[in-house]
Amino acid sequence: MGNLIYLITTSLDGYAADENGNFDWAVPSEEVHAFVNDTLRNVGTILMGRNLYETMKVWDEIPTEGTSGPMDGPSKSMNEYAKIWQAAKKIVYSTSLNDLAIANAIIERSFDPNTIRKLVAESDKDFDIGGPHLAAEAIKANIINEYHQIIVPIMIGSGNYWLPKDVNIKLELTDVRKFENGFVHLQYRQRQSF
Amino acid sequence: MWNVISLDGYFQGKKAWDLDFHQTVWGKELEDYSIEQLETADMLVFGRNTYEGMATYWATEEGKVSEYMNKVQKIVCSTTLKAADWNNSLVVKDALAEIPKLKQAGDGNMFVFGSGNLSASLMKAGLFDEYRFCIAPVFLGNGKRLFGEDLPYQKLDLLKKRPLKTGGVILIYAPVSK
Repeated sequence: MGNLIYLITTSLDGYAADENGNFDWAVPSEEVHAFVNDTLRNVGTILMGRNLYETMKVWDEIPTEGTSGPMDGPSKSMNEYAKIWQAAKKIVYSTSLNDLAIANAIIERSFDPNTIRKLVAESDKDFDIGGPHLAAEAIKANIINEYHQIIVPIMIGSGNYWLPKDVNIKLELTDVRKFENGFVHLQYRQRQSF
Repeated sequence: MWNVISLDGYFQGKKAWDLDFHQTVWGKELEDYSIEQLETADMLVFGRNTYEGMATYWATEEGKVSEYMNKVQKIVCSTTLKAADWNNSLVVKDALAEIPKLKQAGDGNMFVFGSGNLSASLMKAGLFDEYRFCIAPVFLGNGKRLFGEDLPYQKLDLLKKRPLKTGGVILIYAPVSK
């Protein structure tokens, strides 16, 4: 049985990006990126909305080998993530897109939590869901097995909040760690209420 | 600042004093931590709502936390309150002007507990030296957020992280001075 994973980097006040979609402050260090890669190592399918697709599609072009410094080419952690990304199947949820510029990907017009829950349960691999807007659908249906919040030591005041409103769920804390750059990782697991 | 908040950022539920989610993290560890903090405090600062609720609650409670809460100097920031009856209380009308002066006057820590509206004003004015809170492992879904809209952009230093056995996580940050 796989896990449905929601991993996101936010400001301390809970925003994934500011009102203009800017998240420069959230760029991970090599250490944080390597940790994210470890967390997503077993991901076989990536679910995302259109905005995240536009941000992430560049990963199809990033080489999986050939490391140089972070300033003049992909770093080791970027190579690693490119491997995870390129090997995974991608599902892009969009009502408007007709073509995708990435390989190994399909478009879905609507998100059905029951279908995803079954796919995850039947899979050996994990599923990663991204973008607060799409993730909200899965959170409301309480089908997310693992939450990973990476908190950047900054307050930005407004923007795209990482969680939806009107969801009341109790979770279990499974990891807390701190990185050299002051980022904090909080990991929670869905509680089995049945 | 010291607060218990839900993972989705609320410090209280829909209604005032809707704090049931505190039960998910309350226990020996957090109680000991609260006492440790109170021992470093020479002043507690509240908005009117929090002050009134706290005054009623602690008046009849017993134990070490209660002893400190009743004894310590309390400042209540309110433009309407005439009298503050809780032991060792002082009413302050202009919080933004008075708090920096009071901060200079004492040699211990000054804590703001709860007090959402007051905290928002103090955050906007950049008056906090530390943000301390405990994140409870729960989504509340609605209520009052600690970090409301339109706070200024502020870089922070992480000073401490401490997970609790209950699943709470204490985080302490300090603003990076401009």
